[in-house]
Amino acid sequence: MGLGTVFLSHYRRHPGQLAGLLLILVCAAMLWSGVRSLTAAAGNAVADSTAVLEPLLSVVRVDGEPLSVEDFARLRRAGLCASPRLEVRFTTGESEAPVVIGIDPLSAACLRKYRQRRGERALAEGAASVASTLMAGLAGSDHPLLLGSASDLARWRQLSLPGVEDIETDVIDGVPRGQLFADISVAADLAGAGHGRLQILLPAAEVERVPLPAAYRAEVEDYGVEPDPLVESFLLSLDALGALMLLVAALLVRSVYRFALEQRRRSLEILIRLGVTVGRLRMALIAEVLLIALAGGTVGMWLGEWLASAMATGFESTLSGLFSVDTLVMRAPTPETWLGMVLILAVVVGWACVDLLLLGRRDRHGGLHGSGIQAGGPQTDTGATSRWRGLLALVLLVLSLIGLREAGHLWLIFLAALGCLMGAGLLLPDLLNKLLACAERRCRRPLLEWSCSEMRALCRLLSLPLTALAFAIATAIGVHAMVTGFESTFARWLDQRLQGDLYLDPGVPVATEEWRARLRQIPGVTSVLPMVRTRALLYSARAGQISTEQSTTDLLPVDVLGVDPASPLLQAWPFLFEIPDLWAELARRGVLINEQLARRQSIAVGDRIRFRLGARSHTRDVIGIYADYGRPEGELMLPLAMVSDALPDRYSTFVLGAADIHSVPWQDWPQQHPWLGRSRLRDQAGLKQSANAAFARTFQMTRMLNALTLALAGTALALMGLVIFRLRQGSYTMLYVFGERCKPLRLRLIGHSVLVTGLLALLAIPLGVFLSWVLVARVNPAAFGWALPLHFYPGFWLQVWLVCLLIGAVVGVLVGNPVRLETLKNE
Amino acid sequence: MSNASRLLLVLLLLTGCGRGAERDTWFSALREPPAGFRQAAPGMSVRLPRDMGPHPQYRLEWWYLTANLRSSDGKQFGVQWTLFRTGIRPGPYSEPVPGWRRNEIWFAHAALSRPGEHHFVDRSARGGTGQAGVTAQPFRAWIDHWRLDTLVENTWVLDVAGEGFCYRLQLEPQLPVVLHGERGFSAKSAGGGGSMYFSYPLRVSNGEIEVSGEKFAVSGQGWFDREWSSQYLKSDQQGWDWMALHLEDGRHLMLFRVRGAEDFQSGTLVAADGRAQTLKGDAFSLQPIAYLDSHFGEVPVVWQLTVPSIELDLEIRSWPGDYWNRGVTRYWEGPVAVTGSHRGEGYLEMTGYGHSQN
Repeated sequence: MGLGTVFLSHYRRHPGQLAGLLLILVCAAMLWSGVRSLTAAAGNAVADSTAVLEPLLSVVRVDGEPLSVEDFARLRRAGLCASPRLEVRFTTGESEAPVVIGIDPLSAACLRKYRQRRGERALAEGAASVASTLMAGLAGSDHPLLLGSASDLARWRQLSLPGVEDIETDVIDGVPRGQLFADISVAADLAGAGHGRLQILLPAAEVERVPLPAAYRAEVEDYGVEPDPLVESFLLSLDALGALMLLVAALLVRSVYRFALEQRRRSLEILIRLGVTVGRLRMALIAEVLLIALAGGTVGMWLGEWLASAMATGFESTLSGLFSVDTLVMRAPTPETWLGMVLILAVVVGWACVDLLLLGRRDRHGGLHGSGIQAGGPQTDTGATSRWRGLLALVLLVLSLIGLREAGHLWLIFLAALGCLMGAGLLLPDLLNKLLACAERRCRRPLLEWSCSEMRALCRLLSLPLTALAFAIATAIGVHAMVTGFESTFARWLDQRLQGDLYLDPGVPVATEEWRARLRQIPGVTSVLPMVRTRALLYSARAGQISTEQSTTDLLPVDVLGVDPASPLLQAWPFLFEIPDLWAELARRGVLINEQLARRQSIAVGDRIRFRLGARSHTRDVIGIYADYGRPEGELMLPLAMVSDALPDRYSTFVLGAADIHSVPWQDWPQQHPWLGRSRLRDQAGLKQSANAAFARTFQMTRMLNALTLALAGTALALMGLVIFRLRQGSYTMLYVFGERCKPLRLRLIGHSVLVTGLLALLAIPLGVFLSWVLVARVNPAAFGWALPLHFYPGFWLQVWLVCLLIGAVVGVLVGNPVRLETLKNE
Repeated sequence: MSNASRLLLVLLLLTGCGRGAERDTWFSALREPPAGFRQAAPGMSVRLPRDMGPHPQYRLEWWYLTANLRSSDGKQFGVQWTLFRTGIRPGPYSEPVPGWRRNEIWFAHAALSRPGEHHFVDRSARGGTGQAGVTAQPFRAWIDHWRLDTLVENTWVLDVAGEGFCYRLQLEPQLPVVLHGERGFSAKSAGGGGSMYFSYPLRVSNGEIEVSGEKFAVSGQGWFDREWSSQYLKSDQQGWDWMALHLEDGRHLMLFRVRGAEDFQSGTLVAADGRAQTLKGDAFSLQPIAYLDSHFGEVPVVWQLTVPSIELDLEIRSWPGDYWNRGVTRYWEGPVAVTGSHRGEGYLEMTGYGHSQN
């Protein structure tokens, strides 16, 4: 009978052991690949959104003539990566007639939102971006093609325009409401039945590479809103937590494997007694662990990818909803994901191999019995080792805390945080042990003293899975704080950027007050908030001190945003710091600054700052600081009256409030009001709604990940608890023999289990809070220069604690009756 | 318009997307019947300068240029620039231009090679806008800011800037024009099918190449091909091996072998004084003698050419390295060195090899 048959026979007799080992491996791999794929998919979504949000310029002729196809060719021949956009509006009785947007799929890749990455399986796999579908349509059909949402296409058919019978239509997801997309030649054909407006767009960076020909100038088409820094911060935190989950997974797999080995100690001893050499046994065990790791890892990766595909959909929809991104294609696991998985497996296999190698060496000294197979196992922890380990952990913790306080580089912060966690993780079971020892000494009743001693034994024996559970708890709390913090921040960010119901960009510099008055006249508009942007120079004054003789080198360029303090659209704005009656004070004497400027210049509320706006210098009091996530530049917010139309580089946009946005035919305004002909309108409310809904899915999935981490740690603990409690059956049975009844003993066992996990959770919660603090208060400022708000969620801590109690109870219940008289046979 | 040619267009244009079995599709499309387009046939003749311009009645045509260059300090370079025109609908087109049309699409490939190094970029443009096009007189070919333009009579300038490289070369076509096959009809199989095909050997002077931030003044010689048709290959043909060689004694050789159930080969020998002589398939032997296990599979990189009637016995060896043009229509286009009975240099193009690995 070969060793393989012996091993198979063992697992046939104890299928639970194999299942447990595989389950943990599968869960660990799934967790890791899930987290990795989520972050990778989200990273790609961010890249796509960056593409969409790249500042776009619209080229206009200096002579004021409308653009033509010759202009496009001229710009292209000048070496500029420009792409045309022909917008055709139809004058019909119906207000909801969709707009046809004609693009040139051949040059669309110049605008990153239409560009597809090389190597993507796009067309054949159904990744239907507008540009690629139109490209296929251009070459693949004699009939012109129109793309849009089902409802817009239905409205299009109702228009019954003459000469459009041969136009094919195709439903495509993720395109903005009220817009249909077509090849530009199709749009040009349709322009006869409506009103066409040709734009030539190019990325802003393009004119830095190749200057525009003299006959043209560029206007800002889209400043975009830029969520990248905000989302990147979220992704970085998720990455950090992903790394922690890798650690949790490796610890769990390791501990489960060690206990599986422990369970087989006797059968392995028999094999040695039967003449199997230690070397051969070692090789067989290594082969076994490799096989199990490979099987569990592969299944786990597959399941993780499945999990991630659901998560990626959340992110994709989010960003496409916000910025009309085309689509995000699910990709195969990244090399990093596989690397992580290989790392988990390498840790598991490598650690197991070290055990097995030690097994051979120790066997030469003292035989297999006792310390042999259990090498590195809990029983080998002598008091001295434990003390040394505790001391080491304490030193690690202290050094890491100092490092965390002092470190400025991101990687050092991560390293120090990891050191803190490792130190705390190593200390936690010991700390628990010491607490129980203390309780044991104070106990007067023998059974209670025995219980304390028994729980201390549990802490020793289960130190590894308990550490893993502590990390899982910390991760859960960290993820929760980060996600919830991000969620509220994101909501606030959206509120700031997508105020009101509609956003109007006039396309050219306009007379602010005149436009404001005109906009108020439009039926359905209830409020108009002009937002005037310009630049100012801030005298680089430290808080409260203003030098009167500063050179121009001390002048710091800053953005200026002029708003009307009386506007109802501003009243709900949240601030990090503010004085009472802020908006009235803004009109009178104040200035509001963004967080970046406050941090960089150490300016606080109450300080006075001096700045030059145009030719004039002003001095005003800082009365509020607002969070401005992600904007790299400093910004001053001033009352509109200070930002006059005479200032150079001034540009006005408008936020509009409407009584009922759904009943206002804003899409038709540019036709109805010729002075709005060059304007762009954006439905703020709809965008906000879809962004919130889509991000909610992402948050939900992240929370699922949290639950998965806890479940994984709980499962591992349960699996090991079953083994450990079985090892402890002797002492329970002894009490039974001494006269204690079976049922109370069983309840006592459950109590032990619940107390250990409950106490551990209590100790681990501060670790989770610490992790949250590291992420939002240390990592984020180091990476991005601004901090996410740190909030505490005691309600969630209570939930986690209850889950831990539940895990303990389940383990206790699963063990069943601890009284087994046969365990006394060998005593 | 046939399904296969539609698919061809999609694949040709969607650079970077759907790189699965496109190679097979490309060749199957080249084999499709003309479907409304005119087909090149024996008896047709070349008329210049008219035929330097586009032929909208035909489905696919190209202006193809390769050159072997040297810098003053002896560094070797290879340059390829090709402009393709592919018809969506058969011309001539009646709509006024310029305008947004869907009649034809232009695309271009530019490559720069050094021993062990190859750069490739491509572009595409809609016909009818003026973004790309060709005029016969004066001869001008352009797509965006890439251009092959007549500088003065009988002198062209090629100006190309890609990502990481650019070149500007002055080219002098060597007269008279070289007509291939039967007065310009170049058969691609024994049973009919082929293209109209003529060439000019080129002298390259006053060239400037910039690559990886370094500039080189270069000169050398090249080969310009002009070819148009609607159906190039027969259904059983998988691809071709083509080479244009410049021998040290001043002669030039263009040879190709179309691989199929039965290989078809043909060539043209251009004497130093410009007189051209068609080499029929049985007049020479062209055999691969060594293969390279490249990124995309095995490709023959060393060839043995014998032309017994003129006592040519040449070994044609590709420069070391990988010269795949990694667009959707992936093909090998790289410089070669010639040794054996005569020495020389040239360009080797191979299509229909390799697998679909990216």
